[in-house]
Amino acid sequence: MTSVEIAGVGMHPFGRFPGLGLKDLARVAALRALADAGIGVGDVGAVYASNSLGGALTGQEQVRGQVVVRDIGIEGVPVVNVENACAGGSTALREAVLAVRAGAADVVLVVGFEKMFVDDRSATLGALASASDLAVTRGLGVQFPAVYAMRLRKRLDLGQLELRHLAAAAVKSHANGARNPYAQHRKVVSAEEVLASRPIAEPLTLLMCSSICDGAAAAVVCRAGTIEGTGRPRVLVRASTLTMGDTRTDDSAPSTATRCAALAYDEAGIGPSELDVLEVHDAMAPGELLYYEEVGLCERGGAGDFFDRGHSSIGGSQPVNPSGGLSSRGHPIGASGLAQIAELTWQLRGEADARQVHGARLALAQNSGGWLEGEPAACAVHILEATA
Amino acid sequence: MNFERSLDVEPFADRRRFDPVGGTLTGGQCAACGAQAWPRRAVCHRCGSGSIDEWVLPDEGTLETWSRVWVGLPGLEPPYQVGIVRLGDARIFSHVSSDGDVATPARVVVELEPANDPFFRVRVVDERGDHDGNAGGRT
Repeated sequence: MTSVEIAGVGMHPFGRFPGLGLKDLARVAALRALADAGIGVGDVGAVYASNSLGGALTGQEQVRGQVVVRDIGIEGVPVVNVENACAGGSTALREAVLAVRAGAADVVLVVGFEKMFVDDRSATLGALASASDLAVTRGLGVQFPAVYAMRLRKRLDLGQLELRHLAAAAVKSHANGARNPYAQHRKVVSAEEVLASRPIAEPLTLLMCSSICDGAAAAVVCRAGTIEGTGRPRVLVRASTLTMGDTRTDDSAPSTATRCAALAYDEAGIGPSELDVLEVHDAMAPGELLYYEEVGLCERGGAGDFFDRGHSSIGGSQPVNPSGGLSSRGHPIGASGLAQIAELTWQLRGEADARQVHGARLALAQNSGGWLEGEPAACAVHILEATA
Repeated sequence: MNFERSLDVEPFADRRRFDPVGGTLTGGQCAACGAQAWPRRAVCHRCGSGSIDEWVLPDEGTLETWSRVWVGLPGLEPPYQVGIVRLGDARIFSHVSSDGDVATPARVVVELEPANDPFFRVRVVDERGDHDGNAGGRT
């Protein structure tokens, strides 16, 4: 199979940017990724563009990818618009990987961009709630924080997690985010502050949750060797998998993320114990606890212990979300999957500065999108490897 | 595989989702493998059969988990309570009525409110209900 490389990555900082639109956010991320790869816009053979809410919130429908890349001089190549809720960024990446593997393009730009701060906050909340089957959720108000809250409450009631774990996960998220210059939330917080912040969806409080966010992230994907190396480690895509959630009647069956990760481990020929660093989908900070189990870092029910032993902290055996994760880095939803890839690429090259995981060689990104009854609607997993 | 019934099934919006006389939700059950779903689907999610019969959901079930939400939406004043309830083999999002906090799993009954949107909710009747979700209701 054709070997695929992440040749460059770039981000626009995540946060609140009044006066900046989709074109501005996408421009900065895309140009930084191209510059990082050492190529120009004329080298791009195809574009996969991820944006989830722009149609609902700005009225710019249907051709958002073409609209943003024409501002940076890209024309005359295939542009595919990708929408897959919060998993849009990773879905776009997977499509780019498949295009390169198929020989349809040698150099592909993948860009995710989202503008969630608009004049009417309820419009944003409503657009987010539409990441579900409205035939069964309309009018219910099953918002994202409530979905995470329900998953986590089940574990609390089973005695597998304690409230202190939920708070501590948020403390870790903020501590990592504070070290990330691209992060929306860069303030260190204490467990007491987390638990005392206002309730959002019980048992989750404000400081456990991601918030409305603007931002963009991009990656240049190429057939390995197409773009001349610069002496730094090359980052190869060892696995790229995507699946849809399924209708489950009990919790003993493998979760959507577990199925998707198993496909990725099979594709890469590795197991979860070999991973050096991970970025997982923690739209609410304690959500990462569930993913320790779902991607196989520990047994079911073992997340609290895995966390308590410090394994998932920077400096631990398998750091998770050194970027601060979705919760603290920010979650401009169509961009988040690519922000995970940017972070892991920096980690694998040794360029992550204050949050560097030393000696990282194998990395996993897991990105979920939308929800069905208790399971994500979409789930993507990528495994990256640093090579000399 | 024969999809004639699935091709001719009524439009999604017209598939009966509750029976106001019986006071129950109505979904679909696969005639081939017995898999149940709400709302009724055109093809079975488990075995791919196109032969789906109407299924009357039990009017009691198990609240698997819930949350009290403090962020309002248009038409929804906070706080409100949402949950995932299991009725037969179907997992369903629902609004939840309870007297204070609920330890899950808990037994719930379905209350139809045909004039409202959403048109049903579940009410907690007994905490620590049957975890298997077979809480006695009609099937």
